[in-house]
Amino acid sequence: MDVFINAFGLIFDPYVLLVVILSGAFGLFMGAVPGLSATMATALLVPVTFFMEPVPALASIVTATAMAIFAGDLPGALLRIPGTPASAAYTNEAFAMTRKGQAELVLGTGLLSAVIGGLFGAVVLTFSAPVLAEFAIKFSSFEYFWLASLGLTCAAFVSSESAAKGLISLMIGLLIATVGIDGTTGFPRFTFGSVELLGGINFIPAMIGMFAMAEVFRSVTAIKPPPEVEQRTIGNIFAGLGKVLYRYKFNLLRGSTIGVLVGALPGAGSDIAAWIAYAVSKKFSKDPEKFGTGHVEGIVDAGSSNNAGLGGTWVPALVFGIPGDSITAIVIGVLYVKGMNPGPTVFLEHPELIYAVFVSFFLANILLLPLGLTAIKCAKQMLRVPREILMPVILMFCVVGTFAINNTVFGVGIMLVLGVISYFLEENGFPIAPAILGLVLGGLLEESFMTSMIKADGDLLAFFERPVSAVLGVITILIWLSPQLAKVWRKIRRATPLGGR
Amino acid sequence: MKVNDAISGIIFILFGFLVFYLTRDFPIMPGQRYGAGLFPNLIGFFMGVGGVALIVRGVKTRNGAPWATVMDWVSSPRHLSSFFLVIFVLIFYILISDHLGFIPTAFICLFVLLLWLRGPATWPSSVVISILATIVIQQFFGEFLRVPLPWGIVPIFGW
Repeated sequence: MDVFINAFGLIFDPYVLLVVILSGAFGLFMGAVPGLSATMATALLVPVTFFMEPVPALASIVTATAMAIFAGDLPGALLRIPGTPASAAYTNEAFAMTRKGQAELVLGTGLLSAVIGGLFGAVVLTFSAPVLAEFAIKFSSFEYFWLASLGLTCAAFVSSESAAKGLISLMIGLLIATVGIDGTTGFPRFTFGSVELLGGINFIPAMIGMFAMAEVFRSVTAIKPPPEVEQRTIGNIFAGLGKVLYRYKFNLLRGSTIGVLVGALPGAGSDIAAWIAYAVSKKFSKDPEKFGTGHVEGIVDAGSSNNAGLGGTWVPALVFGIPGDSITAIVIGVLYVKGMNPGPTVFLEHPELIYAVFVSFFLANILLLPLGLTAIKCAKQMLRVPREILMPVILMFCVVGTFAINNTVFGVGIMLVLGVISYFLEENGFPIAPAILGLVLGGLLEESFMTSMIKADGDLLAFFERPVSAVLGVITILIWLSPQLAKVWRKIRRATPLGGR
Repeated sequence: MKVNDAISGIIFILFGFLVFYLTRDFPIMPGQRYGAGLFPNLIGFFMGVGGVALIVRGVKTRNGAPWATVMDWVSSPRHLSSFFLVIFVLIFYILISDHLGFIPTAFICLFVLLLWLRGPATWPSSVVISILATIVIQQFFGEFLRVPLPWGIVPIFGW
């Protein structure tokens, strides 16, 4: 209980509260403008949090992402463009409701289900993470190797329609992580004689390049102009809201549960949670035929699941140091920068910090109500900010943000090169999230692999000798083989009925 | 440039071989058969595996489509120039900012981009936005967060 009180003291400090409110406003704006996502908001926040103490740094990321995920609903409902990928699942539904003159109801439902889902996620995070951490404290390098492999495998398989593309993206990230002095042998790798590369490629310029620069390129080369907002001013969003939420109270619970569970899976985040929750909602609905015509039910499910998912993604990130999605991958990177190795030991060494994260989750989701309401009222103005002004300013912000990390323009060069590469990768259907996960986890993966190899004296069977590592290893390998297994399974099924006749 | 998956596959297989080539001189650990090159080689190997899978997929799904197509914006001189202008502005910043100082460099970068994206007629407001954005960023990072942004030709004066 003492740590909880300590954590409250850390969060309810005037400076931290100011940071939280400013990050909240920033997150709402980033989420509301199409093309600027929650991940990009986090990426742009990192250079600023670099100069903060760990508590305000983490609280600002928690708040900005919670706000951005909700704000993604705004352009979804008003322009039929999802503000963040997490709103994509129900954008058509939301816009159909706006068409029917129910803009207030859809935005109100989105806001309240986001708050409820977010709080649900916060509760699950607070109660499950410490328990899991006690279990995880017994892990050795073998378990960590398999956990990191499992997380990266899921990321590669989930994030794109083609597992091969996810795999290649992941390998690019891992390869970038090997640049610099090798931790085990002290040998400089892939430095090509550059002194700057000896220290490795810093993850902050790399991440800003991959998420923010690539988006700047996409924006300046967009041929189609963004559509205009048609909706008149927005009235009382609470009218009739109580009835809807009461009627779909079970959906709130179901959406939030799906959100937390999907979020906690390594590699899957809020966007996938929303798609699944929407699909489940339609499948079990009493009136599935109304879905797609402007029916509020799916929005309750999906709107709560994407915010609940945020809490879920922090569970593996805090407990094992294995990120659940690209946002928590960035968070892990921030923790390393702050000199804390994410994983169960943080719960012993800095418990107040972990509890401060929990408290900031509750605070952020409660703050979402007033700030979100303001954002709904200002939605029209926010959506009207011209892209041609925003993008040069964001570009300059990226430049200074990357410069600020090491005070050299070398980082700006890294950002530019990786920005161009990720732009072309994404245009060709390669997902970027696995690359950033690979970049962040590459060090841990290689270190735990090499340590395990040395411990086992090169005997690969040792990776399966401990019970937990054996289970994790088998699961990981099964996922690797799953496309082939599925093919074989289909062949058997096709063959059996014929053989039987 | 959008290319067929098979082309991407070939590129990544070649890249995997490049990794093997670059790691050929990496030292091995005393008493072991492997060393600093083991992990990068595994990465190169899996990249190649992914490449092979992409070639199979690309050839299977091609259906007579061209092997490579340029993106629609490449044929629009305006958008093509925007793409290269962003790169050019960043290279300009990397080369010049230390000598010229942050404030003039950032102003030039912002003004050039704004003028190009918004059209020459907007120059008065573009000047104002560039000045404002430069000052806000300089104050926020340079003063508030104490990032040593280069002063260059601008004499240091404490705002």
